Amino acid sequence: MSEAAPPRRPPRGDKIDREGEALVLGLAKAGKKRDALEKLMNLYGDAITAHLTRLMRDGEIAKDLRQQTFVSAYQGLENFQERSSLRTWLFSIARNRAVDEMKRNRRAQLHDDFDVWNELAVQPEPSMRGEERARRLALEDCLGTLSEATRAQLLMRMSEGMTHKEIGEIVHEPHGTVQVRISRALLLLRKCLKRKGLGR
Amino acid sequence: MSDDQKAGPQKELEELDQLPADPQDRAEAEWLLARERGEIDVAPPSAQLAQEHGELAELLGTLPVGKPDRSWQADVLRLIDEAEGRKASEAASETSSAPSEAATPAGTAETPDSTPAPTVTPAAQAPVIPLAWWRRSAVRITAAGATAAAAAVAVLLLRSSPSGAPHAELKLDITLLSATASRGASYSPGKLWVTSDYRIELKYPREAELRIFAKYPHKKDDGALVAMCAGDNASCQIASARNPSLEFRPTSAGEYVAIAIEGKSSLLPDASLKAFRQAARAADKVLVEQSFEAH
Repeated sequence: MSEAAPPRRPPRGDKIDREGEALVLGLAKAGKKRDALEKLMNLYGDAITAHLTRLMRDGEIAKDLRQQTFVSAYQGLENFQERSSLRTWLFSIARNRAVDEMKRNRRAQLHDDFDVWNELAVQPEPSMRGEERARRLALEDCLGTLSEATRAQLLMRMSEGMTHKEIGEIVHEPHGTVQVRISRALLLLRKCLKRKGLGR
Repeated sequence: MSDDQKAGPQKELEELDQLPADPQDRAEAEWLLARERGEIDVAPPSAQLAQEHGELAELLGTLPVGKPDRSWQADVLRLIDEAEGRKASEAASETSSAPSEAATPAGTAETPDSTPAPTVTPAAQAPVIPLAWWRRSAVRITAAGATAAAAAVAVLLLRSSPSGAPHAELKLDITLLSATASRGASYSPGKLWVTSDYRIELKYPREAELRIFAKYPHKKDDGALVAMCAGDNASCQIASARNPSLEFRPTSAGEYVAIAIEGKSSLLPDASLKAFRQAARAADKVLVEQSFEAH
């Protein structure tokens, strides 16, 4: 290959359920906050769970933060200004709750042998080849070697498809810093996979 | 891996203010950064690296979220119900204790007095209940209290200014203009109550906005907007950007809240009291807040 193909990333916004979000906002505006919250939890509960689990690398803490995230969302729903998607807003709340937790508990920086797939009850597709499964599991381990700040931004960018600007607003860093952090993280991850014998 | 274990090449690569020392890492880092910046014309250090990063991006974009699970949602709803239950009981207890807190000026006992109250009566100073967490300055609040209908100010929150500088000119007057007795049904069935005309006037040296919310009996709705004066609003009887004032007749007995904020606000034009108050406070815009009751 003489020229790099553009990296494959989730298309911008493809994880945002526009129709579902409109329904949530409609319910909230109609004063049906509880119904709105239920719909919101159905829409993004699993994504928030997975994000927090990977971020905190502790299942119990992740579940606790998920609960706090949606309680906060309920309290803030009526003031939601629609300057971002509900999904981005939720991730922002989750991020703030996670930072609060980090200040109290350094658990997330231990980077132990936490089994993300076991915690999330991930069922690999039967068609997944052994090598791909090994690469995916190795990637989960490699994510654990990043600092929390870097891991959070990388996940928001590469897994959630957020823009650098959105991430910068969430983590209160200039978007240029976010770009540098993500590019360094990608370098680290590639090297980590290679060390595990799963690079090219 | 602990922070100590992370020392070495990894720690170096996470340092954001310097490029990696290793030339190959440096070239890769520069290319990755260019890619993040959208500079797609920057060539990768090698085709192999480009391919590896393409695959890495694919893996990161398809991280599994795991088995769908809704079992936790009931716990969130239960927590919310408990919190709202506590809030409701606190509100109920505040309401039940309100009469002892509200100042009822002498001679204002509920009497079937249909005599119109004097117009723009110099009023007694209303009680001020300071809240420790809110910045404020001494502001004279006048409220009409000379008639049977005009009950007192229950809560007052006020502040110097959003910038923190005191404004001697800041003043909110709630003045009873007239009162008419009628037999009410919405507030206390069969009880005589009085609908009153009020003039609510804010004096402030800069552009400001006034909103009036009906708090009771609309408590379940968190307070509904019933009048607004934003300088050019049709509901303003005396429109002035720097001196918003409106004349307001409550449509039913109950508690009302006047909130003045700095500037002509684009904040939540149809918001309830609760939502508007939260947003205005978050934006550090509230100048003064005052409750009053129409009986």
